[in-house]
Amino acid sequence: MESDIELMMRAKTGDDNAFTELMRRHYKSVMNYIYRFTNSRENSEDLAQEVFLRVYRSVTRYKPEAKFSTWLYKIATNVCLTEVTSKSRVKTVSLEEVQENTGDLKDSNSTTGYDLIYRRDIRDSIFEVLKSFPERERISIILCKYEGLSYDEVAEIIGCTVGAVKTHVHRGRIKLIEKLKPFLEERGLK
Amino acid sequence: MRCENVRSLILDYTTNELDTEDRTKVEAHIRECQGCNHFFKLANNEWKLLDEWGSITPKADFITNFWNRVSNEELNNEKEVPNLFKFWKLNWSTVSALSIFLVVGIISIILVTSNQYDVVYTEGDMADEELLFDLDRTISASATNLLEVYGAWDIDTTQENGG
Ligand SMILES: [Zn+2]
Repeated sequence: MESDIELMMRAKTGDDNAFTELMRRHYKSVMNYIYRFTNSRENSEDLAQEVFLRVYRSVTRYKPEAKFSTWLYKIATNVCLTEVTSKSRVKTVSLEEVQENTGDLKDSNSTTGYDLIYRRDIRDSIFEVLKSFPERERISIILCKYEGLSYDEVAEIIGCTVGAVKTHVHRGRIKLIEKLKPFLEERGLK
Repeated sequence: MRCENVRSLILDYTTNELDTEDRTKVEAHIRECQGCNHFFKLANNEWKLLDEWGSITPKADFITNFWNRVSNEELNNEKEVPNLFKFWKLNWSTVSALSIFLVVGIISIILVTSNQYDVVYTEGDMADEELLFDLDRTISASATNLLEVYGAWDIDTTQENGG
């Protein structure tokens, strides 16, 4: 299988099939990454397209110095931060939208109204708590927890040391524990 | 081991980042310390709770939509290119008109200024000059003094006194 860099080098010569393959590999992650910043499916899809458009437009300037995904996440982070700073509005979510937005949760056999509202509460609560974090804490938690990246990768994306990323994650988690206590205690402390 | 340090290790414990030695330390501490034991349970639940915010699956037409967007952008760019040329055409015509205007202007200025040296001194001009001299002579010395505030007045006072 061709590496991302090889595909990117092919894309650089104008090979759109190579770019399609790159997108196919990464669009789910990019969209979900953005989703943690927006909490809106529609918006995330649109912004994910924006990320790939930026990559596509700058493909000729790409230098295979860093991992492609690192570069991609950097662009996605810029898009997210621009979005959250320009639209710092709180969106109210309807039950219909929740059902539409729950995505993979549908697989967990829990589709009763109560469950959806409960899950929406958790989702919105996590989103709101993360939103209140300083940028780097928020990015670090999202990249580590939801994107499954290592501290090293996150450090490269946000441009700090590995130790700093770990501190961001720890600080963020302590705040999450503090603010999500009602949910955590409700789940029982086994 | 101090509770503060254990808390940090507990966070790493819940994400499986500890080696066996540190894991044993944490386990020993939370058996003894109620506060850290409670924190351990909270931290463990918190990391799992975050998973309840499920991921989303993009629509199947994501990639198709992307290429449509690219083609639309390219189309728009193509539309913009002739406009740009139109703009340039307009600009070039303005520039040409301006340069013609400037050239004509410069030529006229040169012609006018060069004509200045060919002015013919007529008898009528001499008469006008004479009238001005007369006017100067009629100005009295007191008036000259009053007019001094406006600066030097070129008048032959001796001639006036004598006349
Ligand atoms: Zn303790």
